[in-house]
Amino acid sequence: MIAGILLGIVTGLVANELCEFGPWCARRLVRWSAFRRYPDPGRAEMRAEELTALINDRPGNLFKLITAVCFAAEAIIVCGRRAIARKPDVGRGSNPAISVLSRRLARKAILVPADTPLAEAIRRADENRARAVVIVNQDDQAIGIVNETAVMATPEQRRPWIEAGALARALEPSLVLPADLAGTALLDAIRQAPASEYLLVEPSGQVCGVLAARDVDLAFARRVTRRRRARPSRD
Amino acid sequence: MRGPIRVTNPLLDVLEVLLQAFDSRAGDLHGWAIMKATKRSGPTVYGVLDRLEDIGWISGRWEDENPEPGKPRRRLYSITPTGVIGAREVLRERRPQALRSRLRAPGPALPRWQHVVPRDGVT
Repeated sequence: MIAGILLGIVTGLVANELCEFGPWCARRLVRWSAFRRYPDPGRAEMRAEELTALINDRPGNLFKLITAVCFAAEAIIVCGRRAIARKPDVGRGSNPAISVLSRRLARKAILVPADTPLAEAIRRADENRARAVVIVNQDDQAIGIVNETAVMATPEQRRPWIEAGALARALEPSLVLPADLAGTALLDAIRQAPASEYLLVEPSGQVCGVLAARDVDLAFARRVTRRRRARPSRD
Repeated sequence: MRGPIRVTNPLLDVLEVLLQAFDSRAGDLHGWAIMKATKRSGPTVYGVLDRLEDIGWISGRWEDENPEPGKPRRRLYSITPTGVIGAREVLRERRPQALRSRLRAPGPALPRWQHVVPRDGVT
């Protein structure tokens, strides 16, 4: 008897909750749809509020939910279309290098004359928090880049007795790249003159820094990984 | 105002309803009223409202408060003067019967017509 009454109360409460759940769900759904449907945040906010009121106007709990589902479906379709419309751009720039800018990868460099002892050049670089050494002539013109691998291969005790210029690769015109080189152009430039380091110069002719081929490789690898993670189904 | 509008049947329906509200001075309409009058789905109607708002044919405003207390306020739409001219042109071209039937219909629609499309001798 008591169980019957309790069951009746519980059933009533559950039914009541379910009735409330429909409109609540519909309101949430239309808000979600508005923010997906409209890229402009102002309009999205406006429509979200407006559609909530619309759901309120629409009679019938089930109809409220159906209307909300219609809005959600439309939002998904519009989002899909927008993604497809954006795809050609992605395709054209499918080379992940497109946003890799040489300037961003530039290592800060210090300029030293060729006869500077290597140990001194490294000390100065550390002092200036620089990661590259560029050799300059008497006129302060860059003439070479000290090779990082060669420095690493030189035992520390020998560094004071070796001139920085001895470990430098002479600067050929193909090793001097503009600092705003990016994407495929950057790749082409590197492919044309393979080297471990390049000198990056500003349009004004000022030295921007040194671009290490290894850094470029790493940047590209990172971008490719990020893309694969973002679009796992395409791979 | 942007480029030419793509005229579709839902667009004509919405224009007809809004023009009718304007002609009969029924006041501004909210989304649900337009949906009911056009018998079109919500996304369709709102897609049309977006386009019409973009080209300046309709304007929307929030009502001060919902007549039902505690309910969210609604957004009301009315046709703008540019919209009235544009809608009549489009409807004349695509749905001449709709316009003609309204022209013959009694009520306050006629004076408003004369107001928008001035004729000789009408002040």
